Order: sequence, then structure tokens, then C-alpha cells
Amino acid sequence: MYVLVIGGAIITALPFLWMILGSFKSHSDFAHIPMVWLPTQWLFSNYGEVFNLMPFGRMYLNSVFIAVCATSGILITSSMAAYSFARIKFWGRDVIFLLYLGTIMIPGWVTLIPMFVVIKNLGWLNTYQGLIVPSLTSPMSTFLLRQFYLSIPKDFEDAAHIDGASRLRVFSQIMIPLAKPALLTVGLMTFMANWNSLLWPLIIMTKPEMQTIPLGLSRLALTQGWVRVEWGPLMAANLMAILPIAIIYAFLQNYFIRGIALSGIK
Amino acid sequence: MTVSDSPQESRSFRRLGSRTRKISRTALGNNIAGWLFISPVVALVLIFTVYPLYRSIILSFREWNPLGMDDYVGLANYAAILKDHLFLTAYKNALAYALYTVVAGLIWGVATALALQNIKYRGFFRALYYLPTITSSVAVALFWSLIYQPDNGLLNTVLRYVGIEGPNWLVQTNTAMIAVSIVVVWVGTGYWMVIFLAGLLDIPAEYIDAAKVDGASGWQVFRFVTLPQLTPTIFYYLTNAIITVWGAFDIIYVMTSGGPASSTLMPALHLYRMAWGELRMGYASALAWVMALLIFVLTALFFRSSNWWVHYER
Repeated sequence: MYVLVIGGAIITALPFLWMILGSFKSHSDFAHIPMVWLPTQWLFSNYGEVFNLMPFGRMYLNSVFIAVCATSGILITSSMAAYSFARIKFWGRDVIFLLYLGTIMIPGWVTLIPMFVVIKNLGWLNTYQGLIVPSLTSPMSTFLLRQFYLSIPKDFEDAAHIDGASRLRVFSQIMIPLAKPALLTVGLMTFMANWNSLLWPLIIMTKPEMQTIPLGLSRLALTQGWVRVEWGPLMAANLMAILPIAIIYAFLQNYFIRGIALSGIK
Repeated sequence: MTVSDSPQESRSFRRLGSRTRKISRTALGNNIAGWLFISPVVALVLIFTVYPLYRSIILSFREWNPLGMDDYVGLANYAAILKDHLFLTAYKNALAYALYTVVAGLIWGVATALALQNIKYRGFFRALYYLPTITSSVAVALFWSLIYQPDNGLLNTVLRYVGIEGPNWLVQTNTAMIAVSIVVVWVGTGYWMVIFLAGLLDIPAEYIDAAKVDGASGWQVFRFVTLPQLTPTIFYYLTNAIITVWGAFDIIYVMTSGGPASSTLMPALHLYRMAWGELRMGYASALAWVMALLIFVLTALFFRSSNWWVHYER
């Protein structure tokens, strides 16, 4: 059994190691037949070269800004809605919740084109809000957070009510702090999805200085053509693209794994 | 201190010393608060999901492009789909893709889950196996393209050590889809392993012990105890496949762009090309609805079939 596990681990990790090794190789290393295992020279300059090939720094900023805004936006709107669906008795609550959840069933491709048209008509092409605002809809986040809120004993709210707190205060000062683990899980999922997202930025952003990292990377590969591509800097860019998520993942694995598994159980 | 019950209010509270505010939870108050809290998500979903859904139907009956063309054409788009060679190719490829990824992914997922079931350091391996899933698909596509290089790529070099001359994976029409499928299965490693592992751990140990006591071999235990118990998980796995296979985009777009002679063209990529490549957004909308309909029908049929083969434990 250990053989399979170790074998699987090698298969899983090897491409990553290969990418890292490749990021230091020179063009001649890549052109060499047979294959060169280790770089003949450790070219750290490849990493600098990345910034010549595309506005990488700017793209990094774009990705970070968009992912952070989208994640905060989703956390705020979803937790508000989740709390309301879980704890406030209002007219139409259950029907609306079911309908909202039902929108998950709609394949994304059906709404993609009209969404693009809406954004275009708003004049939001090539803008940050054009990318952020549409991605704020996340029935899955609301569902997960609602599950969480349902499981919190009502005593917390009752105590707050007795002490004279308004709904808003109850929410912001009790419900949100209580939900930290759930919020963290949802937040990580959202951040990761946004950071890695390709299709939506591909459609909305055409100017290089507004593009996100996955988009920029794909452009680099596709426009150069595979024959002329500079693998060294490409792998370096790759590594830098993965790094933020990888680092966050290293520290918060459990949240990631739990989050991904949860969002799969629809 | 007094306790007062006021019938007009849905809740009332004891007066506590100087803090004598009674918080009333009227129905109206609840309604206002409730609606207020859900208003952002409701507004968003109306603007970016419901309205586009409606517009998409309209669009599918028109010839439309962002440069101003907008003509009603009735069912012409849908009729054109039937004559579209690329449409047929895309769906044929999707079936091949589905076959490869589902079968390989199932074997790989169950195998890794079985292997990880009883070992130490499970947490470490699980964390390692999850790396592909959390990595950006663009990045994945790029370093796998490097691995697939024909003469001096990692894969072919390793194959040469065992005497196999590997093909030009991404350039030959007969291997391109297989190459892409391998990458997709690789990406799903950790995700499916965790799912199947959960399914495996749910199997009551008594069942397996009972089978062993009756003299069953390892394979027999797997075939007659483990596998039937895993059918709910497998059902979830296959349902997910039915829904997501047609929408596969990122990896194919970057690795092969539909690839040598459309051998890796998939429905999603075809749709994207029609909409933003050829600016035929009306036609693309029709394509999207055909895809949606297909998913719906297949899922419904599949759910029906589950009665025959999925074994639920009471």
C-alpha cells in the first residue's frame, strides 16, 4: 500500500518540481536533446525576464486587488443573507432561499453572454468593478454560511436582545465574530476561485494592464506560439502565479480541504 | 422586577433594573430586517443571473453581435447547429474526454483512497495530493505542456528509460485528447481521493470483518462489500461528471486551443469561439441552451437509473 501512496505522491509532486527546476534553466537547456535534468546554470535572471515579457507587477496587483475585493464583498453579502435566511422570520423566506439556491443549477455558459452584454452596456469592460461585481453572486457561500448559522444556539441572540441590541448590532458584533471559522473557509474558497479564474477575466479585460495573472500567463503562451516560447521565464512566471495560494494553503490546509469538500456536496 | 407578557408583540422581555427597553419583534420589523439583509444578494442575482437567463433565451432567437447587429431570425440558430460540423466534433470529443477522465479518475481516486485508508501521516499525503486541485489551471496547463514536449520532455524521457518511444502528445491528433485527459485526472487527484476516502471510511468495519471471517479474499471483499457500499459516492462522482464535462475550458484553451485539427475541441471552447471569436452571440446563445438542455436531460435520466444500481444503507 505504501508503494502506491509514495508513487502517487511522486506523480503528484513531480510536475511541480519540474516547473521549479525549469524556471532556472536557460534556453539552450530547453533546446538540448536529450533532456537536461538539472539546470546547467541557475538562472535567477529568468524571474526578472518575466517582467520584460509582460506587465507582471501590474497584473499581480490586479489579481490581488480583485480577489480581495471580491472575497470581502462575497463574505459581507453572503453572511448577511445567510443570517437572515437562518434566523429572521420574514415573508417568503423559504421560497426565496430555495429559488436562490436553485440558480446553482443553471450552467454558467447560459448566462455568460448576456452578462457580458450587461457589463458592456454599463461601460464596465476593462474595469475592476466589471470583474468584481458579477462574481459577488455566490449561492454556495450563502448556503454554507446559513448552515453554520442554523447550528448556533439561539441563546446568543436572545441575550443580546435582552441587552437592547438592534438587529444590526447583533449581527455585526455577535454573529460575525462567531462565524469566523466558517467565514475563513468560505473566504479562502472564494479567494482561490477568484485568483485562479480565467474565463471571466478573459472576456472582460482586453487591455494588458488590466489583466489578471492567469490571463496574462495564458496570453504569454498563446501569443508567442509554442515553438518560440521561452520556457524558463514562463515557468518562473508560473511559479510566481501559484505562490500566493500555495503559501496560504501551506498554513491553512484544513480550511481549504474542508471548504472544497463542502462545496462539492451540493 | 416584573415579568410582563404583551400579546400584541411576538416577543417581550423582562424589565431588568434600569435597562427597561422592551425589544419588540413585530412581524413588520422582521420583514423589513429580513428583506434588508438579503437585498444585496437578491439584487445581484436578479441583475446577473435571472435577467441574463431571460436575455439569453431572447438572444438565441436573434442574430446579434456587439457591434450593433440585432435581427430576429426565429429558429435559424438552432437549425444551424444541426449542420455545424464543429458542433458535432465538439460533442464527440466531449464523449471521448468524458470516457477517459471518468474511468481513469474513478480508478485513480478509489485506488489512492484505498491506499491512504490505513497509513500513517495521512494528513501529510492528503495535503500533498490536494496541491494540483488548488493550482491555477493555466499554470497546470503550462507546466504539463513542458512535460509533454516530444523530444526532450519529462514524460517521453522517462518512457524512453523503459523502452517506450512516446508520441508527440499534444500535436498528434490521436493522442492530444488523451494527453489533456491525463492532466484533468491529475488535477482532480486530491479532491476525489478525499471524497472516496470519506465513502470508504463510512463502510462499517463489521461488514468487512464478516466477509473475511467467511473466507473472502481481498479482491472478493472489494467486489462484494466495498464496491456496493461505495455506490453512493460513485453516483455523486458520475453526476458531477455529467454536469461539468461539457464546460471544460481552461486547460484545453491553454494547452491545445482545441487542438490539432479540432481533436480537442470541446463544447465550451466552441461556444467561446462563436461568441467572442466570430462574434455570433445569438448562435452562441443557442449553443449554450442546447448544452443546458443536454445536461438537464442526462442528469434526469441518470438520477432515474440510480434506483437500479445505487445501494443506499438504511
